[in-house]
Amino acid sequence: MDCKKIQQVIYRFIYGESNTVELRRIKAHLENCSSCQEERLIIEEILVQLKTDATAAQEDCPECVKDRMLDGIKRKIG
Amino acid sequence: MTSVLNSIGSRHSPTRISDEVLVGRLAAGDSGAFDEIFERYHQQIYNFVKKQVSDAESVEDLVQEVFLRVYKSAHNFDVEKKFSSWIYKIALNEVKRHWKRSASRQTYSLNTPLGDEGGDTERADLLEDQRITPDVLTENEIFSKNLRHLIDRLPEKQRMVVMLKVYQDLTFEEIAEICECPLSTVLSRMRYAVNKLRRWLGIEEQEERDEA
Ligand SMILES: [Zn+2]
Repeated sequence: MDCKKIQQVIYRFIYGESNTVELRRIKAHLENCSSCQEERLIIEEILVQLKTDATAAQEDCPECVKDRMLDGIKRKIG
Repeated sequence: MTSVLNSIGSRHSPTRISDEVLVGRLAAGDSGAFDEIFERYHQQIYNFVKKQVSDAESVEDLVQEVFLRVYKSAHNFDVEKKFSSWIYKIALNEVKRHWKRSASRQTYSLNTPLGDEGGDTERADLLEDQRITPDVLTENEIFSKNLRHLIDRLPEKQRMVVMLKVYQDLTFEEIAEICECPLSTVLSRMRYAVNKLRRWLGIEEQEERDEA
């Protein structure tokens, strides 16, 4: 795998979605390529920031809203 | 690191009835199955819709529509597929229909179906980038630590991938199914989106350093 190919599959790798073969190739490349390794760390840092922000933004659906929606659905179902 | 990014598995307990089995029961007329599906998914779908639609009343209506569609179309559900992909696809369609109805939301061509492109996807995405990317971010955006504002400035298709990945914890394969496009396209969109956020955040860091 070359650096260009790594760029295409790095996100699957970061999220643990690579298949076994892909995983082995990516790891082998990262061990020998400092620029891809550095790139990976930068991406991971951004993704962590995104995830942290997403978690903070997540609002629980208020119980009253939940009940209202379910009532509405039940009425339409009849 | 890993724990932050891979918080996915934790919500699936091995002993509980799968979503797919529940839809099967719903299709067979078990209304209790519907209640369970609503219980499992209303929070996620509510959050997903809320992020795309500003007024609260529409959010509630749209969430109701999504679950009504689930109820009415349960018999059409392909048991080989994942339920989560299916319900998000329904939710995405409802949101897009809402955008079409409402003139309030100013984005680029919403008539272009998400993921309906030919082979030249990367180039199309790039062109789309150039069209939508603001040349100059407002001062507020530059200094804002709040990534959400930046995410909102992403081109629609890229934003959707980030939303489904980061906010909804779906796999790229699930997202490809929801957006009805190849996995490679989803990965490209993710890459473009993150690179763009990176550039924008780079501006922010630079500005702050200059100020200090
Ligand atoms: Zn490399």
